[in-house]
Amino acid sequence: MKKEFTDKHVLMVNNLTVKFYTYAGVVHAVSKVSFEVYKNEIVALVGETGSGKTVTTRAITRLIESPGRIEEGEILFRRRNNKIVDLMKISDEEIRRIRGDEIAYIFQDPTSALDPLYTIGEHIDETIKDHRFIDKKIIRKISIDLLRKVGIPNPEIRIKNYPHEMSGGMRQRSVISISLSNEPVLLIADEPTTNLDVTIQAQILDLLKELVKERGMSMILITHNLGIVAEVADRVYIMYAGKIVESGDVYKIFSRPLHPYTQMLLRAVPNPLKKIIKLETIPGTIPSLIDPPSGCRFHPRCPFTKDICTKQEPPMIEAEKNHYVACWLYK
Amino acid sequence: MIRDLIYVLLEKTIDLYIKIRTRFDKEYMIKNSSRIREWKLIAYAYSRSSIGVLGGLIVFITIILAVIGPLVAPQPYWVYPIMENPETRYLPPCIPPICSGRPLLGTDEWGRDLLSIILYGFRISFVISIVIVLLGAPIGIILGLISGYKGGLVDETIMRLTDIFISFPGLILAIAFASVLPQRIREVLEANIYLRDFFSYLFGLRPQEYGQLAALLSVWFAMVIVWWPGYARVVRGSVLSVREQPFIEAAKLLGLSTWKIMTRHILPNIISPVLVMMTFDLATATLAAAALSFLGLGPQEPVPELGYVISKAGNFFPEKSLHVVAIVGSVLLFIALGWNLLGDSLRDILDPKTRRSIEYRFERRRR
Repeated sequence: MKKEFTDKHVLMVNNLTVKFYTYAGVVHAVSKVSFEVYKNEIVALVGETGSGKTVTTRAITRLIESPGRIEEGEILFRRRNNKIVDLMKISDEEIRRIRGDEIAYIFQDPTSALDPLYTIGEHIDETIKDHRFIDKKIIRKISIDLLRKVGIPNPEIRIKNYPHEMSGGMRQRSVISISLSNEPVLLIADEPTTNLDVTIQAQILDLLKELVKERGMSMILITHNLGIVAEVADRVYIMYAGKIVESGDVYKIFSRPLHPYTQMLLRAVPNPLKKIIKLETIPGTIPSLIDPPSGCRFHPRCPFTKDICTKQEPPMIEAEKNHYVACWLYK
Repeated sequence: MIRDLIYVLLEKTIDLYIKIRTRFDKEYMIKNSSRIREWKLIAYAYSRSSIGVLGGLIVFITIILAVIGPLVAPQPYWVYPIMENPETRYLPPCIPPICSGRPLLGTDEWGRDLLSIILYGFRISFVISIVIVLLGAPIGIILGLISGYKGGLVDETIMRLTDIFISFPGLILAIAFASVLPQRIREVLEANIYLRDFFSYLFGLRPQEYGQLAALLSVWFAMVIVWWPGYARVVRGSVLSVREQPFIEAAKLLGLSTWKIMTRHILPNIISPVLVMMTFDLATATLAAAALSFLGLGPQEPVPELGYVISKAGNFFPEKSLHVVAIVGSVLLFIALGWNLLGDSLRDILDPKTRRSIEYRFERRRR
């Protein structure tokens, strides 16, 4: 199911496979994952903890540390100058230049993602300085503007603050401003609101959404919070045990989930209007990726398991327009 | 009392610095308020620690004596009063009112004033220890950084090399180097007048003593060569724990170069244990260098290296030379004690966790 890299594409990942060679055995963290990101859209990557979401996004800029290894895959990326490159093939130095410049990450935990020894301003300055040659004073001005943009009051003074002097929400805003410092083409936000309370979460998400629309970037949002997905994302990829099991428009996924896993996932979201005695769960746990189940990886937990599920891997099929699913139920 | 004085002194110094900076940048104080607060906190924490203040005082005296010692010494070290008056050999120390012209601390075997010998010796010991640590530590730090950060084969190679150096007792390795190096260094010094002048000035010696200077420098080199492995190990260990921190990963994700990550994010985060270690090592290096000279591998007559002076006096110990051994030994103890006390207090001050209770008191005092 190979697709063409069209004018609207920013990123296209084909058959990405990442394995970790640990003492316990080979962990098949990501297996033949393919997805694409279009211009000016927010794509959500959803899945349980350990389903390979973070590894997938790290692999995009080849930041897989030993003992991990990217086994195969093709990552086509449209650079700022409209040139299309395969991120798997370019040199280490080149990919380092792309990181933080054209592809930027927002980190999961803003508390530990900031070096305690440097002020917020120094963090932003450093990121800009490493990718561009601009005068120090101009960089400082850009940094202050960025902080103002993400909604930090008194940025001229706050810029000299150390991370420990800021609140969690402020830190997350600072981290976002660091990521935005070089106006990236693609922003990858790895659970950007996990450690924040709900009101701040909403503010941060609104901010991200606004920034993406305003600056014409694309964003990959990693989360396991379906509420966030419904609010922010344009398209959704559901990941399970290192594979993408379903993808499509956010409306289609929410109104007519096809894969049993997605259906159960959506059922697990509590409805605030009903009094709940017991929260709905998906029975079982995510399988060990050292020895993943044969056939469809979800079959041990699936209520509709058929014979074929245990034997053969389901292919990705287009069940309806722009709605893909990998499940034998729809064959 | 002294503590308050020290704090006021340090605070004044910081204020002065701020004042100078404010002259160039009007908003310096507002922008750097958190940094200034941190400095004052460190100053306060330091002034609260008795051993730190004592150590700092001793180190201060050591530095002053090392700098001005050779200039104020009442007698040069290259005279031999014994030639004129055999009575001057190993004169015991005297108590001021009844000295009647005799040297205060007594004399050594050549009848030289022991006070002058010690003042010269201070300079030599101090310079040696400082340079050993300042050259040895960076080598160890750089190797440890690379080894810890890169990992894999690079790590293995560097660490096995370090193991080889550590598995030899440091002093023995230094002895081996110190017995091979002097001839080479002597040739170099003979050929290069400026180098000779520079080093003799550094050690407070006469340029014509370049033969002895070569011996001194060989001790120096030998110590530097065996000094780095400890740092490489400590730094590597700290790097391993810091490199797993999320902010290092964040730096990688932001596309910072490896060099920048190592120097800007890893090194500053591991520097405080290294600083403490360096302070302690200044004491150890002083003693180790004296030990090499004591064994006869350092300079010979008439260079007043403290270890060598003790070793010479040892021949007539304790009947005649008790005072020489006792006094020069105490001087070495004094230097080592100062650095050790300072290092001890630095360890407490540089660690924000142990400083917490002091910070609390500081805040209360301010209010």
